[in-house]
Amino acid sequence: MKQLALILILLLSHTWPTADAQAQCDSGSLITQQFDNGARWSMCWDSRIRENLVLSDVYYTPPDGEPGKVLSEARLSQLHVAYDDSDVTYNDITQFGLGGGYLVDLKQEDCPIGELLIAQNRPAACKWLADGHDNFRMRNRASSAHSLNLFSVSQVGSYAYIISWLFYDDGAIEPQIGASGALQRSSNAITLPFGRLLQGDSDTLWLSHTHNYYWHLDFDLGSSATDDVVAESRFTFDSNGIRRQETQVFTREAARQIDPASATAWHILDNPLESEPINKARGYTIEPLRYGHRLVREETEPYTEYDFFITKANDCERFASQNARFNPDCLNHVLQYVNDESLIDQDLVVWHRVSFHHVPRSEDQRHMHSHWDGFLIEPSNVHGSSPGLSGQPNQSPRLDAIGNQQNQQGQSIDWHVHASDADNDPLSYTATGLPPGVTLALDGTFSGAASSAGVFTVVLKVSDTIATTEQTFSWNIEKKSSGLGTGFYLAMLAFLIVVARRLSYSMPRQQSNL
Amino acid sequence: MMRYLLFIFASLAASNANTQECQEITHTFSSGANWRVCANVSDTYGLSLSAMHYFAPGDAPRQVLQALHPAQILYAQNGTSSSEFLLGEASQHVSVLLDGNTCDGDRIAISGDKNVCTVVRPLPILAKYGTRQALHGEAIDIYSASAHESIIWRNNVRLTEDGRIIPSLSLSGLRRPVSAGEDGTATIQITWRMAFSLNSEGRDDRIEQFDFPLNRIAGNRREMHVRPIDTEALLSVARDDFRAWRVVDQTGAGYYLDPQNSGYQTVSSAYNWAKFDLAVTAFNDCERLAYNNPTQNCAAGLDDFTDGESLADRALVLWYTQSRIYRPRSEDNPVISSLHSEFELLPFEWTASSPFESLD
Repeated sequence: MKQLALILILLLSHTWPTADAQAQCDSGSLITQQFDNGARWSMCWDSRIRENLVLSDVYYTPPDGEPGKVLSEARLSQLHVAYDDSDVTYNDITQFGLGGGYLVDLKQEDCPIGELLIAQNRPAACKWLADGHDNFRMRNRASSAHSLNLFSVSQVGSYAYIISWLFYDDGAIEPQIGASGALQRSSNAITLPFGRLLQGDSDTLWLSHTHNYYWHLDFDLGSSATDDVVAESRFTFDSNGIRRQETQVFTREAARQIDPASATAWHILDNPLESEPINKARGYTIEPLRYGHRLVREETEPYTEYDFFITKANDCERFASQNARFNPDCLNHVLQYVNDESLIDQDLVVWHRVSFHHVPRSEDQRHMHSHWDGFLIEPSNVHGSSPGLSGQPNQSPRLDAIGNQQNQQGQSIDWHVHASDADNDPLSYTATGLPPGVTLALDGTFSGAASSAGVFTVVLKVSDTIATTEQTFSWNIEKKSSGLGTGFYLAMLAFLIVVARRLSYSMPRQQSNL
Repeated sequence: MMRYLLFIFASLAASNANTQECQEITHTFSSGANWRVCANVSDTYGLSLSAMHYFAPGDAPRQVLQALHPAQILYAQNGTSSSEFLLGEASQHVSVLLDGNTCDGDRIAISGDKNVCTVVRPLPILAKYGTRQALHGEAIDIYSASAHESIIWRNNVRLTEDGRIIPSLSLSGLRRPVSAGEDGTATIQITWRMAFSLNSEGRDDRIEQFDFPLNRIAGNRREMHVRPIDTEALLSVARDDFRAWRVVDQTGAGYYLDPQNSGYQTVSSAYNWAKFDLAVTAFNDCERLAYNNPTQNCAAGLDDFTDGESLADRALVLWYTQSRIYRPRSEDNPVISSLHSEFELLPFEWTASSPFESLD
């Protein structure tokens, strides 16, 4: 009886996997998207009272590939707002929260070309599809990047934050956040140098401020959560001005700064071989391109000195700052989480900060248009070849058949070879082995006159700059005669015969009397 | 007086250069916002927009730029000390005619062998406040394609419903052969030329540099410092100071250039100008490319263009440079997954408030 009860409890409490064998969640929390190129994303989602949109069990299936896990969890971990007058600093996630009462119920009008998603019986998110920039481009075809876009809105004070995640059909992920709503803080001390007066109100100084967004990404690439590695790449110049790449694999927790001069990038790699260079290993790359502003307050908020953190996964380490507020037995901020723990054979988490400095403008006045920030997480060696590309990327030029050629030495030459290209690429012609005196123009025109006799083996090539097609033919240049041709000699012979006959008619008759 | 006459001459020349063979493109969004530009495809640098006008709902139509185009692409393969320039007389830049397979919108003919593609796309939410219905917007993308050997790139200018201008360049094409021992990693620097002419008159535009340095003694405060740039100059991003630039006309309206996507910077280069993020020059129609400038009887590039000339009473040209790293990966075999680079010009003080309907 006890066993039966246990089975019933298990059945009732079990979160049934759906037909999708990848993400483990109930169908209401499952998001899947299949793209035309064959790529597929699946994940679970939820709206938490603090972070709002939380994604888990994120899987990507490449075109013609097998599904692979990318992230076990992805979410915001702090939304830090620092005003230029330094009087007020907000940590929105821990002071207020982005979910619960701050989560905005969406209407279909907010999601006009998408689908509303329900969490905790509330229309909490919108899912829509977009396209835009190129995935790749050739002369004869191009592929636009298609993406699954998810967003949820949190209203915190005057600000409406649009928390977004984009999942592309080439395997890339782009966390984004749009800040909209209305300006939050102002001052009536209008001469202060911390903001701007906007049109229509000369008594109010709207204060400039910085939004510092912190994302928390628990990567679990492939089948094991504990075999991932994080590496940093940098470029340095040697004394000859030659740029070379250096890499560093992190074996212990680390806090890193972006260094634009050395083009820092971070690579999250799936169980790379020890001898494998990072640009050959399978994983994801984060290039910190969104880096026009850097807020540092090392005395009061020491974690602001860094932009990227690698830590061992720890449920206690939830927020980038003010963590102890909700977890009194845990450390308080992300720099404290970097406490020299080994990363070898551990589940790794990366934290990334992006900053935006907002200088108020009159156009922000009710209502402020979204300013977007985020970064790209790009697959590297996740696909065997260009994702979604089928067939050959370029078709070689076709050269019309050229028979063997014959000319006489010194004869003027002017003829044209012809080739076609299915991609309409511009073509150029070159040749080797031409008879001396004969030239070939890039447009395929032979000209000049052969200065030497002989049989020449010519290799003609036509190129569309990507592919080259060639043909070999023989070009016989006959020797020019030493002055007079055969006809002349025949004519001379005929003339001599005629002359001889005439002479014979006019010979003295006496000879015939002999 | 001479300078004034020269300016008129230069303006006329620019006008002629920009309007010849260019095709007017206009688009009106559902809000009433409108963009009107003239598009051309140059043999030298690809997509070129001129006579760019934006009309915000409730506002007057305003000219914003008189020219916008790529001004150089520097390709420096790692492991070498040499750089290759994809634009200019010495290179083999080729415009690629777009067809139904390479244009995902409407094709607009410029001339027999040149065209551009235009596509209107929805944008993420333009504005949202509480439970009030979100404001949605669109943008029009205008693009052309260019090639240099096996490299192909898309020159794109996105014009948004709320007046933002977002130039971008996406590099793709076939992976290039590399020398033994090298993996093909390369630094790519893309420079755009923006000839401003806010409203109808360009000569009254000026450029300001905004800095917000941290004052630790005064409690981590950041005072706003606005410095006019009076002479031609090469300038750098200052991330700790939150540096940005604004081009503004006599009315106080202008565009804000926040160098947000500047995480990579080429600090060591054989080319001085390439170490900087922004150059400001007085308008000179023959100065088209940052390097390898093809025009005869004109300076060769930015190092010569920025010769300390006064910007007073001159139309302004901004040259903005961004760096990217090309890191070869299996996804680039055989076709390079696009390497994208973009920045944004944000309208600043064009209207007293948002020109779109309030969400109240």
